[in-house]
Amino acid sequence: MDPVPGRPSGYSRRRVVDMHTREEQPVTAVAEHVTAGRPAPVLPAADAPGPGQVPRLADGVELLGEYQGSGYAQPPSLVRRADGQVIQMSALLYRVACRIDGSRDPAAIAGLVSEDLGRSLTADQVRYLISAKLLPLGVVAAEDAPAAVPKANPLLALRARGTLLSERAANVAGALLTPLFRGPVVVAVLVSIVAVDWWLFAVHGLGGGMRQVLRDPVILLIVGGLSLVSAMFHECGHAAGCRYGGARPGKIGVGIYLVWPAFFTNVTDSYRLSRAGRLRTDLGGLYFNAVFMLALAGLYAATSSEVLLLAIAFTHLEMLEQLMPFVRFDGYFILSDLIGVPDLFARVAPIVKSALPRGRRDPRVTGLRRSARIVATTWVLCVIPLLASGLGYLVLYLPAVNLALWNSASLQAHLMTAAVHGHRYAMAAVDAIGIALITLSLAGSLYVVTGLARRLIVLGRRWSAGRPARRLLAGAAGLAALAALAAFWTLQGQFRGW
Amino acid sequence: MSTVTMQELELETAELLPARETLSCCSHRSGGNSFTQVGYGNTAQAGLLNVSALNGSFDNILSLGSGNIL
Repeated sequence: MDPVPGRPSGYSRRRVVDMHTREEQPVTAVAEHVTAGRPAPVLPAADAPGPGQVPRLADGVELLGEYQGSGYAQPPSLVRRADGQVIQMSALLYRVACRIDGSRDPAAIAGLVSEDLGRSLTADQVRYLISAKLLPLGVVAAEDAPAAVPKANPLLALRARGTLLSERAANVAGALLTPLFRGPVVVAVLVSIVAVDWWLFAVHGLGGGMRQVLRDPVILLIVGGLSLVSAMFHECGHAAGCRYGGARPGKIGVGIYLVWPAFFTNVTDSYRLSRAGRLRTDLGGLYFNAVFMLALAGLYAATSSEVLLLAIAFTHLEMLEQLMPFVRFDGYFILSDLIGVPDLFARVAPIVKSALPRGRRDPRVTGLRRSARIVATTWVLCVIPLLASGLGYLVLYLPAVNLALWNSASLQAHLMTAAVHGHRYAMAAVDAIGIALITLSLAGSLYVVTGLARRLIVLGRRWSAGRPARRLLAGAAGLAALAALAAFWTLQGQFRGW
Repeated sequence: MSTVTMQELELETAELLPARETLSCCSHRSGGNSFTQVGYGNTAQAGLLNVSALNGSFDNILSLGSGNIL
């Protein structure tokens, strides 16, 4: 395709594949990693098609600067694409991206970057960095039709997202709530919540609220409703914290995380903040939980309704749950920001590989500072058995779990029908919520298992690509695993009762 | 002025970061609020996935309201 006259032309994606004479394959999350003994890459020839082209950044690309508080010895820098995808890149790549302005050719860029670095970089080397590293990630514009640029597809990510507050509304809400992050307000909230907790747990107790629930289970609806409001307010806390630091929160919504429904706030823009700003964003949700509990305590002072105290206790449980660092809750982001490693789950495979006797040393591990590497490795050592046992249990007992869920839903449906016939509509509503949650758990368990199977198949296909013997081995191993699983389910009697 | 080598260039990396999505999960609202998790026999919670299916009947492992309130 000919470049548009008068406009700086981009680079051709097709040409990138040709230049490297490689099998065309999807771009992976990490652009390239090599071992020391690997031969140097071949530079694009000086007379290759389009070497004199003037590169330009893709539309909407934003250069965010250095990732602050990084756990890497050489702090990486950040670039954000128009679609919101943030890319972390090494310093030299970032310097090259910074010098691309749509008017400089590779020789001019090389000259400027050489001055920045204090080392000599050639035009061909700049061309290589652009075509092999920046172009596949969608940072530099391609001259041909825009191809699909890679997007992060992280492990254990939120799925099936729906919007509750648009980005604009979330920003308005965040801006309105930012005064809650002023120093004196924070101190007042923290002192007050300590006082309320001391009174509630050491003096008053939760017996009154529990007795109310036992007398009238419908009160659970109120507690559940307050719990949902608390969760939504929690998300507003993240948005407000993000906004207070100077970044723009994205939308607030609801989705499915593993098997659970979950509210979420997109605070991707907080990558640009300092470590303190990111931590404020992370902790904003828990802080707003504290504010919410104070509001409940105030309502209790006015109404003496013990249910409100029960809701405070439930909010504490939510907060504790949020501190879990092994799934993408607040605790995960807090840990990640404390050590300056933005995506801990992406370190699992490199750390495991690095630990193997003949494992490849991955720059994502070797580039980390010692303290960050120790914490990340410890986290990996904890998360692998936890996730493996959780997922392994689910797979091993899938028929039994789903039968149990199905029976439970049937029983709830029966009870709901009885409640409707008895004109106990509130109770019927509680039962209906129960059925919905059970159905969600059932669907979620199947979704998790099929997702796991899909990932394993993709891994097997990638491992055996172009190698028939490996493909045969992978297929045989897959079939053997399926047969063993079916035998286990049958011997356990897990199909009885279906 | 020293020259940047191609080996160095190849070690230049770029990595897609996942969207930062803070979550407020309804896990214990879906599990913990069910006051019938006692089930029958020695049921056990499956940790992260919060379902119960070990040793004993699996009836009514997740229920609310007019089920078996503790």
